[in-house]
Amino acid sequence: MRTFLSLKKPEGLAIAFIIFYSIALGFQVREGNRTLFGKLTLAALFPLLKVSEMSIKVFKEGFEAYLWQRDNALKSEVLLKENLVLKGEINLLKPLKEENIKLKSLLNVPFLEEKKFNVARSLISYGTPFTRSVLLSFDEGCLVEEKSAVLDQFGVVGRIEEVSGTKARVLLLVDPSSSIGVTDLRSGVSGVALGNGKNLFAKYITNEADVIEGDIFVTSGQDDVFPYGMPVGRAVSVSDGGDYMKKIIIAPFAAMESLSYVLILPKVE
Amino acid sequence: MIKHKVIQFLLFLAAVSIQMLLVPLIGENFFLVNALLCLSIIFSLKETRIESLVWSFFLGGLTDLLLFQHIGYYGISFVISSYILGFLSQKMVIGGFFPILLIACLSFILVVLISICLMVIFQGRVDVTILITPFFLGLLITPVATLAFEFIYKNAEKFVIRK
Repeated sequence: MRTFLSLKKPEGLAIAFIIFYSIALGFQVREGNRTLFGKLTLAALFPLLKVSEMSIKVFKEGFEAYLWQRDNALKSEVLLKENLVLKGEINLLKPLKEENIKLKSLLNVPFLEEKKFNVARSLISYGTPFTRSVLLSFDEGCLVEEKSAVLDQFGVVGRIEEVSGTKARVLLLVDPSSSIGVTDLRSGVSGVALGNGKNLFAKYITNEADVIEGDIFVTSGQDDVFPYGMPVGRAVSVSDGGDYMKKIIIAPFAAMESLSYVLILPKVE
Repeated sequence: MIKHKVIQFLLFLAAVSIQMLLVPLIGENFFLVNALLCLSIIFSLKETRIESLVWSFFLGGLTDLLLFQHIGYYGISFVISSYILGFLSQKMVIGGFFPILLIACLSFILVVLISICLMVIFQGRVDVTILITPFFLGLLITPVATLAFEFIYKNAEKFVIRK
């Protein structure tokens, strides 16, 4: 308090200023040439200089640490934002990737050879346990007509029953009201396959016909809907059905339960 | 009071401009000419002792900065000079052409001598021979500049009072 009051006097203030500049000078000439007076001044001011130097050092280090911390915090904030954006992009890309894989698999279907087709997306599968339909959505430019064949990458799915705008209803092969002409790929025996809700029943094949379990059935091309040679399913059970006819159960190749994208073939003329 | 401070500030700006722009332009030998010292002398004669000391402290440090040397040589000399001038102006009224000229000359000599002494104390030997011409040039110009500053300051004060 007394020191503070003495600063209000010109003498006190002048001395304070002179001391201040002396310290500053001592500090500045420390590393330069030292005279006897300079050394004496330095010796007298050494503790003060040391404290000042240390405090400056601590302040500098603290300030540098603060800057480092601030810079890193800013960087981490930016990285966090970038990370969030990238995560979002990845989440957006995931379904696209899956979609791409599915579409690629459709492109590589061997049995289509060079046939033209449209691609549609399955929106919803509906029906009772014995009536099975799927609603499709397709692009505006696609020419989709009723009675067109619908396939997935494994085989025949069904036929289009109804078209409305860019939507179409597909009657699945396994629907009890569906029927399709089939041929045994091994023996060439033909028949008609009807849906039973889950599988297909091949009808009109006599007991003498050469059909065994494991035979692959393809479309016969006689029903004016499906062209010849589209895979339908595999015979899982062959038995005597009475009336001189075989009872053949065919498991469809098409993944009826998990349809995502399907191919629509142009209507057979 | 605010207007008074404004005059001080404008004079300060003028002195800094002269010191920074004009003095280096007129020649190497004029480096001891000190417009800031002129201002310090005027403030020491016209203002209160505390205020003049604060101004001298600040102006001295600034002179050191402008001359790119260790800060403190001119700082200490300005403070000592201002203290002595303040003490004198308290005891007697210093005004008029010749007294101010004389005071400015003496202040200049005092400031230069103290600075040289401090340089010797802190840095060892100083080559005084290179300072002879600048010293006489400074001794010639600085008091004249002080008179000019004093004239401006006096008239500006009158203007403030009239307003």
